[in-house]
Formats: sequence, structure tokens, C-alpha cells
Amino acid sequence: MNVNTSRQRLAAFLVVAALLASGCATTRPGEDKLLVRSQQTYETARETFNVLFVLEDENEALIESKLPGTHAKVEKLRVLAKANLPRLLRAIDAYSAASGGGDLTKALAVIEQALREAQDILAASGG
Amino acid sequence: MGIAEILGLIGAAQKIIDFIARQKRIAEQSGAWTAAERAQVDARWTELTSGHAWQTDEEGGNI
Repeated sequence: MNVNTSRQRLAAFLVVAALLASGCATTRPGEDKLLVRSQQTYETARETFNVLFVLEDENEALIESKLPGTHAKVEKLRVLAKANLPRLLRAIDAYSAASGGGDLTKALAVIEQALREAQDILAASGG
Repeated sequence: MGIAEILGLIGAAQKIIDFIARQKRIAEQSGAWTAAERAQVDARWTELTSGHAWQTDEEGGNI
């Protein structure tokens, strides 16, 4: 198996795993689906960002040589993730305590968009 | 394929395996976080963000 094929397969697993996780929100009776979905999205995004950041950090030169511009894209996600994952978590805690939805849906949308960008970068790395 | 690429691929494979295992646990999670799970969220965040990979270039992550 050559390098590009194996990386494509690894990247495909990443995308599928992340999509599966973000699509499931199993709730117990009486629990709030938005809350559970937000919590799962938080954890999925955190772990997806982590694997992207670690792989890019450890293989920056190789990745940049194959996909110029990737480091700049990942850097933007580092900044975004460090600012907005805590924001989402605070919104989750506030929602859980008081059942207010406005801040949570906005914070969730930011992370969901960033997660899609991370997944796109991971998939591109395998190409 | 050179030695550096082989080592990189081996390292990446284990990280991918760990990632998929975590995603599987997240997908199988039933219901909202318990207090213990919420505490683990904070611990995991501290663990990850103290690592080099989460440091931006401005923060000195690309020396």
C-alpha cells in the first residue's frame, strides 16, 4: 500500500467517525436533545481538532510540501478552537443550568462550521 | 518510502486508532453529561491544550 492510499484511508476513517459521532444524540427520557447534541458536538470537535493539530504539528514540513497553505489553515483553526470551544462549553453550562437557548445555538454553529473545515483539511491531507 | 515517512505513518496510525475509539465512545454516549463526565471534560481540555500541538505560532508552538 503506498503512502497516499493509506493516508486516504486513514483520512476517510476520520471523516466517517466524526460524522457518525456528530449525528447521534441519544437522550434519556426528559433530557434536552439540543443539550446532548451540543455536548457530543463539543467532544467530537475537540477530538477532531486534536488529531488534526497533532498530525499537522508532527508532520508540518511533509504536509506543507504536499499541500501548500495547510499550516496557515490549521493555525486559523487553532486560534478559533482555543477561543470558541471554551465559549461553547460555557454556553452548554449556562443552558444546562437555566434552559436558555440563544447563546448555545450560536456557539454551536461556530464549532460545527469549524469542525467541517477541520474535516475538509483532514480529507485533503489524504489526497 | 523512507524511514521518516514510515515512522510518521506508524505514529499517525496509533493516533487515528485512539481518535476512532474516542469517537465511538462519544457516539455511544447516552444522555447528558454526569457531574463526573463534566469534570473529565475540563481535565481533557487541560491535557490537550497544554500540548505543543495546540500552541499557535505566536505562542511559540513553531520554534
